[in-house]
Order: sequence, then C-alpha cells, then structure tokens
Amino acid sequence: MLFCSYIFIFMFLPLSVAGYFLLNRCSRTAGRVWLLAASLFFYGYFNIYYLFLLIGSLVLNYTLGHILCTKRSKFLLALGIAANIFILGYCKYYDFFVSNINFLFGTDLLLKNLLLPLGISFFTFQQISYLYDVYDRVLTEKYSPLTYSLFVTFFPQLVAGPIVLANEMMPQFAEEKNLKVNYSNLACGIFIFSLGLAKKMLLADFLAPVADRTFAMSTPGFADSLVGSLAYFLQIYFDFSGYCDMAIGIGYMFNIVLPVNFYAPYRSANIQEFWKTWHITLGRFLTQFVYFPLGGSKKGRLRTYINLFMVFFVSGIWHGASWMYVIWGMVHGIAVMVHRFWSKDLKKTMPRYAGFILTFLFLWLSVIIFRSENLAVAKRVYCGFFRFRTNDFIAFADSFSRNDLLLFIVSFLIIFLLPPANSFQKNFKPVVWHLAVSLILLVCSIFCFNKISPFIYFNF
Amino acid sequence: MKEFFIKNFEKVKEFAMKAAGKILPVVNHSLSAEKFCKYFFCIFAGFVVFFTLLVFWLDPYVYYHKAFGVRQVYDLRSVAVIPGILRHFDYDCMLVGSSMTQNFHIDRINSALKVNCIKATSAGLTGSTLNEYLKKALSVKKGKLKRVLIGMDFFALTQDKLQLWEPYHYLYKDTFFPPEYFYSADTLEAVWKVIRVNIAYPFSQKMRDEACYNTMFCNQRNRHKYGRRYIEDYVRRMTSYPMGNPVIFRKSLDTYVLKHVRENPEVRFDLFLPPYSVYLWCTLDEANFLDMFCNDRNYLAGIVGKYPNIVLHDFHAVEEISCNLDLYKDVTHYSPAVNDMILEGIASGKYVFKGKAFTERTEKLKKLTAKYRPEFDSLRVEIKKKLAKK
Repeated sequence: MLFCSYIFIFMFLPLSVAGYFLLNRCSRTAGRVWLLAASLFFYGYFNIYYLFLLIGSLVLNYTLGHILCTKRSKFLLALGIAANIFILGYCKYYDFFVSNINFLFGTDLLLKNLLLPLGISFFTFQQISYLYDVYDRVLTEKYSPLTYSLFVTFFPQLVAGPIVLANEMMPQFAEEKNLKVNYSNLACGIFIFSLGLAKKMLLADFLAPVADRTFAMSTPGFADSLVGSLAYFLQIYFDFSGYCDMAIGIGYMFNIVLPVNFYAPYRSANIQEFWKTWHITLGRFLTQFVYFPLGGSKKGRLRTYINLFMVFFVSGIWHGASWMYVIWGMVHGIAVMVHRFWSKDLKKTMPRYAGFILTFLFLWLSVIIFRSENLAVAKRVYCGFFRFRTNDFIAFADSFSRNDLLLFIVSFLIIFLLPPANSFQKNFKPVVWHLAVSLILLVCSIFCFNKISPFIYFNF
Repeated sequence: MKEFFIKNFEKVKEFAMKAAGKILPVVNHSLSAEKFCKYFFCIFAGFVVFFTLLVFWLDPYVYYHKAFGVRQVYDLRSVAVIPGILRHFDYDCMLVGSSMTQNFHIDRINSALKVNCIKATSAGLTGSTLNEYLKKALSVKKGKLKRVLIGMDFFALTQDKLQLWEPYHYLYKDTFFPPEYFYSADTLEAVWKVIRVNIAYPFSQKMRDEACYNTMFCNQRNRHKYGRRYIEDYVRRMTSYPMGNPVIFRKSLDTYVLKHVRENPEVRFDLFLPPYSVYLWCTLDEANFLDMFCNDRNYLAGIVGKYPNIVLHDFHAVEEISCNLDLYKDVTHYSPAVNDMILEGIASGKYVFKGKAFTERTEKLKKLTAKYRPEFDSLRVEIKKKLAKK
C-alpha cells in the first residue's frame, strides 16, 4: 500500500500507531510484535510473494550476524555480503545482464522477466551495513530477532529509504522511553508527514504530466524541452523528498528518529555540497562501504579520483538496471572529479552565486539522462533545446496552462525560499499555524489521491 | 490623483498592519503538543464526517440513492453518473451510444417507441465503456429491461485505448463505501455543481437545463451550429482521418455487444447505424479506408442476422439525411432534428435490411461517395497542399 492511499491514512496508520502504544502498556514485546506484523502486512500488501523474499533475507542476515557476534570471521562477512549482493543482483539485474549478453554476443538466452521486489535495494544495503557493524564491533550488543526484524522491516523506511544503519536504529527499538506516547514527537510527526504528503500529491504529481508530455514527444521544441526537463527536475525532488519526509514523520509518531535524507539540495553551490544534501543516506552508505574500502583519499591523487568515480558508478548501477542510470552516475562521477580538481588541486574558488548557477544547470541538464528510457529519448530532448519553431511555441502555449505556471512558481519558491521540512524536527514547538497548515495540506492531499502516480524511487 | 492614491494607500497599509497585529499573535500562539494532537484529530475527524455526510446526502453521482431534498443534476461527467442512474432509476428501455446519440430527448424516445427509456450516452464512448453500461443495466434490471437501443458508432468500437470509465472504476463496482467517491476533488467539484444548480435553479435557464431529466447528456446546449458552411469549413481544415481497424472492430463487436445479446435472449437489441454525412464516406475514400469500412458494415449485418433478438437499422445510406449537409456540423455529427427521423425509422422498421438488400445499400453508399467526391475534393485542395509541404 502507498502512503498516499485512503487505506493507509484512514486505517493502517491510525491502527498501527494506536495498537503499538496501547499494546506497549500491556507488554513491551506485544507492542513491538504488533509493529512488526503491521510492517510485514504493509510490505505484503504490494505482493504477498515479496514477503517470502524479505523474511528469507531477514533470517539469513540475522543468523550470519549472530554467528559473527561470537566468531569474528572475515570469510563469514564476505559470504554474507556476497549473498546479499547475489540476491539483489539476481532479482534486479538478471534480465539486464542477459539482454546485454544477447546483444553483445548475438545469443538468444531467455529473459526471466522477474518482478523486482519493492525496496530490495534499500533493505539489502541496510542488512549489509548490519553485518559490517557486527563484524567491526560497532554493534556490541546482541539484539533479539524481534529488534533486528523491526530494524529491517520498519514500514516507513522499508520500500524507499532512508537507508538506515543498524547502530542508529536498533538501540531506538530497544529503548524503554520510546514505548510510551510522546505528544511532542507525535505532533512533529504529523506536521512533517503533512508537508511530505503535500510535496508528493500537490507538487510532484502535478508536475509529472508536464514532464511526461515532453519525454513522450518525438520532436520536442525548445519550450517543451526546457519546461519538461525542469518539470522532471522538480518532480523527482518533491517525489523523493516528500516520501522521505513522510517516512520521517511516521517514524516520529512511533518515537523513532529516521535520518534526514534531503536538506535543500537544489541550493547547493557545488556538486560536492549537492551530494551531501541529496539522498544523504545513500551517499553515507557508499562512502562507508565503497569509497573507504577502496582506500578513500589515502592512496594518492589518481586513486582518489578513481575511487570517487567508482562511488558514482556504483550509485548509477544501484538506481536501476539500465545503461541510462549508469551513464547518469558516471556523469556525476566526472563532475565530482572536476570539482575536486578545481577546489583541491588547483585550489581555486568561485563566487557562491556562480557556483550555484553552474551546479543548478548541471543538475537540471543531467536529470534528462536519468529520466530518459534510452539514449534516443535523451538525444531528442537535448536536441529540442536547439529547435526554435513557431509552431512548437504555439502548440506549447496551448498545452501550458496558467495553473502549470503557478505550479512552477510555487515549486521554485518552496525550493529556494522556504526552510526544508526536516528543519522543523529540532525543538519542534507547535503553534496554531502548524496545526492549520497540517490540516489544510492533509485534507487537500487526500482529495488528490485519485490522481496518484507511483513513487519514482519505488523503481529502485 | 497622486494624493488620492497616497491617501488610500496609507489607509490600506494601516488596515493591513492592524490586521497583521491581530492575526499574527493568533497564528503564532503556542499550543502544548497534547493539545495540538487532540485538536488535530478532532478537526480532521470533523472534516471527514462532514464530507462523508455531505457527499452521502447530495450523492451527485447517484451512487447510493436518487436525489433527496435537492434536484438531480445530470450535467456532470456522464461516465461517472451513468452507473448510478442505471442502478437507481426506473426504465424498461435503454439508449446507449457515443456523441452520435447524445442529443436524443427521452420524452421523444418514449412517445415514438412506447417505452420508458433511460440514456447512457457519452461523448468519446469506446467498446469497453459501452460494455460497462450494458453490464450494469442488464444485471440491475434483469427481467425489467426489455429493449436496448445501441448507436453503432464504428469509430467508437475501433478505439480501445481510451477507457473513459476507468478513472471512475470505483463507481462501477458495488462496494459499500468507496473512499475515492467521498474524498476526491472530482466529487467535490460535482457536489459544488449540485449546490450551485439548486441555488440558481429558479433564476437561470442554464441551471434548469442542467437538471433536466429529458435532455440529460445533450450537448446541443453547447449551441453547436449546423449547416453546410460549417461542415465545409470543417472539411477544409481537416488534417487527420477517423481511424478504423477491422480486427479491433470485430473483437469489440463480439466482446462488448454480442456477448450481452447472447446472454440476454429475452431482451430486444435495436442496433442502429447512425447517419454519417456523405462527406465522411468521402473522407474515408480519400484515406483509402472506404472499402475496409464497407466490409465492416457487411460483416456486421452478416453476424447480427444470426441473432433473433437483434434488429439492425441502417441509416448510413439514407440520402435525404446524409446528403443534406445543412443537417451537419462536421462530417459525422448531425443536428438534433435528425433524431426524430431516426426514432421514426426505428419505430416503423423502415430501415431494416437483410442479406442482399443490405449489401445493395453498401453499394449505394459507394455510389453516393463517388458522386460527392469531386465537390469534397474541391474543398480539400488548400489543406492538401499544406500537408504535402510538411
């Protein structure tokens, strides 16, 4: 089920929150079992078969973690990581791999058309981080299967992140004070959830058709390419950050603090700053499990650049089984390398406003690759920027309404002027306008549920 | 002038400052977290209950009941309101079709055919939507529904991509409480329309038309203009052709029409081929689709001949209608004046042809096309030059 569905808002969320705290009064375990059952129900609601994979993955990783607690073995750690990567690779990349083999070698190997289990990239990475934390003795306590299961399956972050680490989550599930209702957290959670829901329903979903129109065109003109690519640029931010805000908000309702995943990324003045504020938890994971193991910046200049590039190469692959994601990742890898060369090696700086404009342009134009199904589509949109035809402008003016213009203006105001949703997390002191905004945004969003499009990051 | 502006600007500024002075402390008034949560749940629950009761009472799409305490408004999205009308209204006859059948008046159908008819007509209707309407009526009115009139718009049955009814799928199921109905912007818009129409009903003819049972779903209120100059103008500007696909047509016919005919042998199905203008045949001829279209015609006649409960009325090659271009606004859509001729034809059975007689009419259609083609081509000269340049 989606966060933006009637069944979630009217039934699942109130029942799971109420049930959790009511059962915690009777027994600490009962409440957490309830939460686990709710999380598994939430996941199984998409497709019951996904549940078997999730439970299998849970059992495997918990068992390995349990063994690693008593016997610190690099072999076991490697085995665990390899098993997780294998499952992820098989489910997500088998058909991609086979279709490339068929293309390169002219073979006719059958595709399996495997249905990608939702959230597999996220819960696989989480469990890899768990195994590593156990091996590295970052996690010294032996947590119960229930706590471990909650860490992996906690429904707000199960299908699209944030990618949480075991050492930041498991202690929270075990903590006594989190078992009682905390009205401050509940209020904060409601407010942030409403903001996130509004971002998704009132912004991202209205931007989607504008973007889709352009990317479906055979010969987009200048205005179509400009507006369509901008629309997707905004859509992906509101869609993903909206989801993460909802996840964080729901987490707060349960007294669980999920890590921030976005912090005004489009205000960045350079690409490095962008990746510190966009999908922060993925960047953290890749830094810890790809960049550092490769040597980070400690093996010389050339190796540093290669390591940086590899991080973004892996990031591109992680996003999906398509060469477009790989290309997008590589483009960002090159951009990061260029930035490092400029700032660290040449030791040059540029005014913040110039850096902001350059970064904005780069991010906007590179998102076209991310959105396109193949190179031909990307080429069409890029070529559109050089196509100035009167008929195209007339057709564009017919399709672009005043509401679309208002949508863009509001989107830009939010991105550049308003504080990010999760800035309200710290020291949240509710006032009347928080209440009014929550109610208005929640009600307006609910009335738009009929027109929903799936979350973009569910595909990953 | 400048002084007037400055004087008033100062007044407005003073008012705004006073208002801000009163409003800001209110909106910034702090609440305890517990109060925030309680107020939130109470107000939210209040909204939910209010909207639920409002929608249930006004029920714009007739999901639960006919209008109660308010006038029924029919000028809403037809695909949304038709399932409810079919469920709750009384009728023993049903007219189904696309925009070709929208302008029939219910009282005229009733008096011509001696029935109690309901309309299930939607512009842009496709096979799948037609199927949903038939399915709903034939199941809800089992035993009561005696006659079904279907306007056999060929182009509707060869389109299967646009499924009109799917955004309103929740209105076609029989769930007790579809949340999509109660809490959607679309329903809110419909509720607002019902309120507006009921308030303005005594003062506005337009509002009275929107609540008129007899003319439900009619698009003539859009004041379309019919006449030779309008259809000629349309032909001069026409850049695309109505598409046909025999495979989809035959599949749609069987799946969406004949299936119901077979399952309901006690119901009489009057299929009528609407009187397209002769310029439509010329358009199909220009696009090299005319033969395919005529084959579909003959196929239809051959197939329906096997069903005793189908009567096929052929208005395609009725010269006094199709060749009278003053009766059209474009190549397919005829004026409401033609509806009475159709009803008279259905009542008398004047246009029922079978076997060889039917195929002869197909040949007549081709001859009419050949006769009007030069006139048609003269209108197409400029646009064809433009299309060739592109």
